[in-house]
Amino acid sequence: MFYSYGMSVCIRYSNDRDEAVEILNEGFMKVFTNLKKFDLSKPFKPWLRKILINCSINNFKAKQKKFLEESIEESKGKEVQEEIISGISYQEIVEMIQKLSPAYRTVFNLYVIEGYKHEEIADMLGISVGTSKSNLAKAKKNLREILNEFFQDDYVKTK
Amino acid sequence: MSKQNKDRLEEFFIKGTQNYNFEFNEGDWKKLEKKLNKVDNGGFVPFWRSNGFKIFLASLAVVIAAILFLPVNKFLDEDDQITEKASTDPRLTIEDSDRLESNDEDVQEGRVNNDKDNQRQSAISSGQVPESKSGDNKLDEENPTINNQFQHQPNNQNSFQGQISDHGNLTLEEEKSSSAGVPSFNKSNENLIYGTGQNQYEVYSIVPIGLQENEIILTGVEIRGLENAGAKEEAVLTEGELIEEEKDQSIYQPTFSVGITISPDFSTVGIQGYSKPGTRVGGLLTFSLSEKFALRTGAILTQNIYSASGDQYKPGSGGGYGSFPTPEAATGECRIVDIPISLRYNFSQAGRHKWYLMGGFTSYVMLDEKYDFTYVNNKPPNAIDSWESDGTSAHIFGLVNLSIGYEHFISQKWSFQVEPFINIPVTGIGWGNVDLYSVGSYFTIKRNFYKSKE
Repeated sequence: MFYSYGMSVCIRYSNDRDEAVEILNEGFMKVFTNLKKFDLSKPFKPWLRKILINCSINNFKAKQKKFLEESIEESKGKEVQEEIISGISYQEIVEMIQKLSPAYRTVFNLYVIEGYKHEEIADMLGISVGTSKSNLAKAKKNLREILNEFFQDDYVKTK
Repeated sequence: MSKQNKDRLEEFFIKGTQNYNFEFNEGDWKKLEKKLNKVDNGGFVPFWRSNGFKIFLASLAVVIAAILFLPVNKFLDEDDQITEKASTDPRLTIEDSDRLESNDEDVQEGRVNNDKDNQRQSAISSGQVPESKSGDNKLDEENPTINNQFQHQPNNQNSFQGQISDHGNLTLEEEKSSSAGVPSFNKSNENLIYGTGQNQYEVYSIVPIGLQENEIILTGVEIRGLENAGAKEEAVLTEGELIEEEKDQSIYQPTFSVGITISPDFSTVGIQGYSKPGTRVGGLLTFSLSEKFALRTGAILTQNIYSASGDQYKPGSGGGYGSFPTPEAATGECRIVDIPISLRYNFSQAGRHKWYLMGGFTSYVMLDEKYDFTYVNNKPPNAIDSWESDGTSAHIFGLVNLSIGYEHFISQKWSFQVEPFINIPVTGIGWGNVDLYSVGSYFTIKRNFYKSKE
């Protein structure tokens, strides 16, 4: 039941499925060994999600710490709004996210999907707010390019 | 956390990642099951299930196996020494040293069968050498005793006899029966003399290996030619001297030794679990105090890696995290220079083999340390992810070290050791003040130095 949910979180932070399973198992280990700390009056899913995100961040820190050192310059690129036509699978969307570098991917996931603020992300990853913003901007820029490539310009129309 | 002004790209990915559907994979569950089976306490691998402890036990088994092998080693080693002397001593003018070795093997068998080794050792050590009962300097075949003579024990119906060639060389020959062709051995006041006239040979080294009532059984003899009888003072050993040589095992009793050592390091906090192996590399000095005791010191650069639950770390003088919240788990990694001072006790020795116990205290200098903290639940706003320091600090006698070891002398100069060890904390280590236990097994190569003989 929680396998699919857990995988959906971990896969977005991973390079591939194997890495996602590794993070998921690490997360479940923490769930099992810390069940006594779980507040039964609260829903389980957010707690599991939180643990999995922490595990993903730990995994990112352990394996890809160097990516945190990437440029902190603010993106000055023109904001482009796209009209995206549906017709793309979940698997393809995940693969697009996985094409991002670990630093960009982590910030993108935390900011866009999980909904954290840049200040929170900076604190979680041990980076500056500027770096967080920069990584997000570059992640989005890369995703646009990936999307353009995917739809071969026919499906993405610049407003 | 929610933000306004989401652009369409963001919306696209938010929406797209909601429609997940992962089919359950049995293999993934088995991986998790395997992890769960390893977990016993707090999510960490128990100490006794760790690879470190297994390596420690394996090394211990090697040492114990070597101890059990002691009696056989004792015999083999003595035989090695005889063979080595026979084949390398330039003074030996035996044409066919191989035959001598072959005869040594015969004697070896007889010696093992004799099974009086311990009796002999103690008798020789105490100087209880039987005196001659007979003044007869001829070998008595019917009465194979040493009475101021020597003989090659005719075990298994094999013995060797000597022949003196015209060139003054001695040839040893095997024969199935000791009843014919046995040479005569004369004994002067001090030395065993073989042959007559210019073809005299003297036994200058014999190695007694068994003592029975009123008899010494010899493993072998070393014989050299005397160009003239007047040169026989050189290197001639009397029986008393031979006994002294046997008694004195200083051939493998170095005065001091210098060694380099390497070991895996498996450190754990509070004997509850370990993270992954570190390393130990260093130099050791050993000073011999007596035949049985030695003092060892040195410097060992140690990389300790360990995990523990957050409450096992007691950072700071206040014993807590101060203004920081306690994490659920922490991983520590530090580089330490260990300076052990240990007393070594050789509880057994047989020729090239030594077995010993060692114990002492280890002082250490902390070079740097780093801790990573994990927060399983919501991470408090003022929580710290890690803490590190490059500052050095020293702790005198912070650890008790215990080990058991086996040392093998490759030659007089070189030896190697296998030594499983355990370090037990006396004081808390590092910023976390953790009770850090370490196990491993030192593999050491030693260069041995001896006091020069007068």
